[in-house]
Order: sequence, then C-alpha cells, then structure tokens
Amino acid sequence: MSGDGISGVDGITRHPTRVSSLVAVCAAVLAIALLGTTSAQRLALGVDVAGIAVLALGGAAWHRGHRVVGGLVALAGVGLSLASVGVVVVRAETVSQRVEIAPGLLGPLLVACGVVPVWKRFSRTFVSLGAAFVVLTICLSGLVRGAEMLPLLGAFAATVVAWDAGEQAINLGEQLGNEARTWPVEVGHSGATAVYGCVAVAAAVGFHDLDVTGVPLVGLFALFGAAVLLLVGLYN
Amino acid sequence: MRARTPVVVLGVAVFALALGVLLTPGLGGAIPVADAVDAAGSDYKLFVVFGAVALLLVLVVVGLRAVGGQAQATPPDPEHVRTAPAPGAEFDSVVGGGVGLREQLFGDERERVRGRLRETATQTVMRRENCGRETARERVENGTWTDDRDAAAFVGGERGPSPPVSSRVTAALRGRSWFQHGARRAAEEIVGTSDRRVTDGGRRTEDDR
Amino acid sequence: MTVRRTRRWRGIVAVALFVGGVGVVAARPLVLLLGVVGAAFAAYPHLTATPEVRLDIERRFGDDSPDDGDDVVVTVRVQNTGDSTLTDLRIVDGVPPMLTVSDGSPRHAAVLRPGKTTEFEYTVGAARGRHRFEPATVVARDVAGTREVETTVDTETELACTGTVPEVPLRQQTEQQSGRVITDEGGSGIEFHQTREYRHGDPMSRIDWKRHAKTGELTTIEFREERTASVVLLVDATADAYRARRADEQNAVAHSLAGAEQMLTALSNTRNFVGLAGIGREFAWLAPGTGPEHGDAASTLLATSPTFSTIPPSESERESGSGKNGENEEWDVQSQHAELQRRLGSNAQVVLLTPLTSPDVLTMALGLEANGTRVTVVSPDVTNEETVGGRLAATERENRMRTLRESRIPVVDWNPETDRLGTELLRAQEGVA
Repeated sequence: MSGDGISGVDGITRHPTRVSSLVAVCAAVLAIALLGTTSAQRLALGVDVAGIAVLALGGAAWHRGHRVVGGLVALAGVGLSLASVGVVVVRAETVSQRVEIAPGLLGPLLVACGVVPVWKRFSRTFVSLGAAFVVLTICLSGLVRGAEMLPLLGAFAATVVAWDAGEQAINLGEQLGNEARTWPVEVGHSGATAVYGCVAVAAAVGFHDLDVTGVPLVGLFALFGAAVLLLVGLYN
Repeated sequence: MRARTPVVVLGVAVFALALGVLLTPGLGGAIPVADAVDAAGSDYKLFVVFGAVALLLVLVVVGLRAVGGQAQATPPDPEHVRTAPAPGAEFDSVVGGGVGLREQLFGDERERVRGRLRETATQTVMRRENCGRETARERVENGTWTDDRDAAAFVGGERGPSPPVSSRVTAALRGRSWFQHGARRAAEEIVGTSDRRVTDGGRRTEDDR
Repeated sequence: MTVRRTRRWRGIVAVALFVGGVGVVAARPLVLLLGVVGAAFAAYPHLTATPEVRLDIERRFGDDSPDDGDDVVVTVRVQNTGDSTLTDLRIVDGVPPMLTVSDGSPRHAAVLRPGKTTEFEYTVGAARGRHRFEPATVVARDVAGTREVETTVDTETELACTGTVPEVPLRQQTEQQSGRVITDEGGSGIEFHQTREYRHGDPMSRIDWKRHAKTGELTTIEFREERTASVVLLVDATADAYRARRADEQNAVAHSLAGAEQMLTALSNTRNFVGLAGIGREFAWLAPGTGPEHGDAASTLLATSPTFSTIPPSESERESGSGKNGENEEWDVQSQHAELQRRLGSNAQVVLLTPLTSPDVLTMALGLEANGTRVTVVSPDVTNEETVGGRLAATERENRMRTLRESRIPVVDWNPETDRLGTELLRAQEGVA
C-alpha cells in the first residue's frame, strides 16, 4: 500500500480519481465477460469481481487510517481474486476454455491494484500490465477460436477504454487531487474513448466484410506493409 | 515527430500501391512477388516474416515507452501558507546536521557561525553587566563571561581557555563534532545568560507589560 | 503558455503491431482484424486538435471584510470565451500565498462549451493583511489527452482583512516643533478649535463678526494649529526577513505589510505626508504625499511591487539574496540603503517595520538616525523558543532592540499572534512623544 494514508506531505490526497477508476475496472471486467461465455468462466469472473470489491473496501479502509484491518481485507481480496484462476482451471471443461480466460482474470485485478492504489509509484505500470493481460487473453481466445468476431473486437476496444480510464484517473488525481470535483471530465473523456472504440470496431467489421480472399497476393503484402509503416509513423 | 514523417509518406505510398493492385489486377503482375514466394517456400512463410518484423517493432516501441515515460503539467499547491524558515533554523541545521565536507574544507560557514555567536555573546554580556563594548569583548575573549568551559572555549579568543579534552571525547561519543557541540553549548549559554538578566529584575519589555 | 505532448497513447502502437503480428504469424484473420481496431486507436491522438484556451475568471467572497481568523467562502466562476469546447479543463485557483484553505478544494475540472460558465467554491481562513489572489493555473487537454495546454488566467482580486490603528507614534520633526503631529495649541491652522475673548493685536480677519453683530462681544476664532509631518513607512523585505514562527503561519514580511497597511490608513486620515519604501528584491519607493490619489498609488505599489511580495525567496533567490557579498544587483541591499538615504528628505521621518532578524537592518536604522532622520522601529516578533537556534535568534533580537533603544530609537515590540498593532502603538505612544 502506498504509505501516504489520508493525505500526503502537502495535505492533498492524490489518489486516482474515483469515477475513472471505476470505469477502468468495469471495462476490464466487461472485456473478460465478452470472451468467457460458459458457466464455469462466468463463475470464475464472478469470484474475480468479488475479490476486487473486497480489495477496494480494504484499500478505502487503509486510506482512512485503519492500516491493519484495511491491509488484511485488501490482502484477502487479492487472494480471492487469484483464486478465480483456480476456479476456471478446475471447473472448465476444455483446455481452450481454460486458456482463453485464465490470464485475463489477472487483468481486472491488476488494473484495480493500480487505481486503489496499492503502490502509488507504480500505478501506471499496474494499469498497463493489467491491460496487457487482457490483450493477451483476447489474442489467445482468437487463436483457439473461442469467441465470435463482434465480442472479440468489442473486448479489445473495452480493454483500450479500461487502460485509458485508468491512466486518466491517475493523472487527474495527480494534478487535482481527490477533493476536487472531477467527474464531468472523467465521464466526458471515457465516453469519447468508448464512442471512438465503437467506430473502430465498426471499421474493422467493414474491413472484414470487404472479403479479401479474392485479392492477389501482392495486394495483401502491400496492404500489410502499409499498415506497419503507418503504425510506426503514428507512433506517438 | 518530424523524423517519422518520411515513414508516414512511405506508408501512404505503399497503401496507394496496394489500392492500385486491388483495383487494376494487371499492375500486380508487374511486381515479381512470385520469386519471393518461391524463395521463401510458401506465401505463408513470407507473411510470417512480416509478422515477425511487426513483433520485433513491438519490442522497440515498448522499450522506448519504458525509457520515455509521460509528460504532464505539475500545477502549484496553493492550499497552504507558503512556508518560510523559522528564525534560527540555519543555526539548528548547522548544529544538527553539521556542514558538508566541501564546506568543511573550503567554506567559511564555521567561522561565520563562530563570529555570530561571539558577537551575540558580547552583546548579551553588555546587556547583562550594563558595561561597555570593550569590557564585554574582553570578557568573552578571555572566557570569564560564563562558567561553562566548552562555551567559553568555543567563542573565546587565543587568550581564552582551550576546550577540555573530556568535552571533545564526550562530543565524539555522541556522534557530534567538537564544532557542533561547542556551538550548541555556546548558544545555550548565551540564551541562559540573557534570561538570567531578566530574572535579576532587569528592564525588559515583557516586564513592562 | 506551454503546450505539451503527453505521449500517453504511445503504447497503443505496440499493441496494434502485436495483435496484427500474432494474427499474421498464426494465420488467424480474426486476430489480424484486432490490428485494425488497434490501428484506429493509434490514429485517435492524431485526430484531435490542441485546445484553444480563452477564459474569463471572476471571484466573489462570502464576506468582503472578514476579521482575522474568519472563514471566508471564495466562489470562482470561469467562463469559456473561446469558440471551441474545452473537453478537459482543469483549474487550480491562485489562493493568496499567506492564506490557508480550510474547507473544499481550490481545484476544479469541467467540460466547458463556448460561452458557458462553471463555478466552484472553497473556504479560506482569513489572516490580517491585504491578500491578492495569484493567477489561476489552467491545464486543458484535448479529448484524447494527447496535448496539454498549461496557462494562467488572471483577474485582480483582493481579500482585505484590515485592522485599524488609532494613531501612529511619530517623533518630533525638529527640536522646535511640537511633538504630536496635530497640536492642541490654538493657532492659525485650518480646523476650527475654539473661540476666546478678543485680545489686542489679534488680526481683524479672525474676529467672529457674526457673534459681534448678535451680542456685541468681540471674540476671536482660534484654529487648531497643525504642523504636518512627513512620514515614510519602510518595510524590511530582505531575504532574512522572510521568517515565520511556524511553517503554517504568515512570515514576518506579511505581518510588516499588514502593519504598514494599517498605519497608512491611519496616517492618511490625518494631514500628514505619508510615503512608502521597501528594501528587498528591489528598491520600492513612493515619495511622501497626501490625498486620495496618493492613497491609491500607495495601495497599488503595495499590491504590485515584487519587493512587497509575501512569497519567501526561492532557494536560488536566497543564495544570491542573503548577500554574502551582495553580488546580485537586484538584492544589493547596500545600494538600496544608499538609494533610500538619498531619497529621504531632511524633514522626513521613518517608521521601519522589521522582524530584526539580521544585523544589516540594525546597521541601517542606526545609520539613518545618525544622519539625522528620525526612526521608529515597529518589530513583529516571529521568534520561537522551541529550538536552540530559535532561542539564540530571540536573544539576538533582544540585543538588537536594546541597541536601538540605547540610540534613542523607539522600538515597538509587537507579537502579531496575540497583540493588535493598534494596542501596541498606543502603548508605545506614551513613551514616544
């Protein structure tokens, strides 16, 4: 846990802001929910969410000064969340059902650790790492053909929204602290990212509908090369 | 950003080529892609090369991100009174933390502290004894202004008492230099001297109130 | 105004390349399609424009003339006067340096469409003095958070928490003149004082003719005789004067300024010529004068001159300011003394406000007195007795006060925490005259 408790040296609490933090965790959970549709996977995700809720409660208690109780509760939350991986390994029927969701269950937990925050100095790292785990699980799901196209694309967009909201929570917290009213900006920012995500998914679906199987090989090579070059060029 | 502009231009050019190939099938035949496919074994393997390049770039980008980090404004913290040090805070830091090695070797910080204490001792003695500056100066120089030998030695002149060896040892045992110890004792003694004057019934503003 | 690229989206390119690469290598079109979504997000930060920040700010107080220690609610209204929507506007208000926020937050975030306003409020604890608000800091980001504009918006706002002092103890101008500024000897001044029986030799113009017409008595009107003094209030704002008793309290310069403010008001109610001077970051000077315009000029100087800033010098300023050698021109206190000496007329007297934390200010006061300028010292006491250094500083201050008194310079020892300056001055008045 970050050692600054209720307030920092300068008397201002600079934790990640609440609304964006909530959006980040919910979007990460949504991404996993879109991938895992069997009952075992849903059960594991439920355990995961319960663990995150307990972690959030423990974090709140810790930051209000109840160090011992808060710390123990938070630790229990993390434990419960980690147990969800065990749930999916034991309960899922096929290997692909396990593989496509097990790493992803760590995603929301890591994002939550970043915005509670468990260790303020590494908040951004936690959030990025959490998003990376969700992306990994989306790729695995695509590889084992576990999910349909729309849920897969949706899950990916949701992951970007989760990362974006988590980072926004952190930088708003750093600049304005937690006493300031920041929710309109948080809602506006994440709303815009989500809408853009929908546009991106629609574009991908449109691209899919173009049906590139009839295209000559040279054309495909050129398209892919152009994509790589443009991505590097857009590197921000 | 500017360094990447050629990459974007190249990317757009390649994209245009791709569109050209897609729209006019005759153009595709002009590019010797079949030879490349033959060399690689199959078209899939050629795609794998592309994919591998992309994954390699991932490592580069992730590495750059780790090095660069983010930039953002740090607004001021106006919630609290802009703090100023308390009077005498410099003295406390010199006595408490000592002076740095460089300052010890080349600086005049110690002499300034000593000079300041000497002056204050003189002034305080003048105030206590109601005597002239010369007399007070004399008493500080030869160490007769106080019973504390450490304090007397610290502010005293060449004719004054030398610091007792036992004090140096005590100071060293407490992890302080002789300078820190002496300065602290001298300051305490000066303050004590000043207060004694008040209890002697001297005229001080507080008494008038 | 600073425009900054936050670089927060740079990781998305890696993600897009990753999923695209995996899709190609594994020959899974569905995964390759994820690369399209990733590429779209990589383009996202390039689609937004740098926000254009044009704002108006306005502050209102719950109580316009609070007492020392009162809580004052500050309401800040910010209006977007530009043509575009500010999607991510962050404001940190410029709370005066010597005030503490006791409730709420002076920070605020809003989405602001053109012409719209947003409002927020917080509470500050009032402390004595005139407190000018600093410009509010504004950080505006575009909707993706790619570019960040950092700038300030300013409006002149002042929270005045002023006390009054009944009278300022002034010293005799010259040997012959009366001690108090306004004498009670009847004379030929302007203000009506009393009438008395006509004596031979009184000028015809001073005879009360109305009364003569009514009663037939011959009486002479006497006016209160007034001899104006020329007073310069001198504030010590050198680096050594920026000392505070505790970290959360006002520093001595702020106390001195509050005191100068009160005395300025008191003196401008008399017919004295009042001037203002400051030694510190640079030499500040307003020649003695009188009248409302002069009062305004004095207020402006107090509010705007860097010398009269309550903000303690920064580390780097302190380095050059504590003046081991006085190399820094701006903080060259020696030449500021000389400048002061030159500007003070032969007739002016000085009321010096200083915490007496440095030997230099003592030398200056003694030097002024030796050159024939009458000096009175008003000294806010900010020493604390909690550490050895603090006690030593208190002793040094005692010594300096004694040296001043020995040179017949009156010293008003003022504890700004517990005493009102007015009471202290009245107490001193008896001793001065």
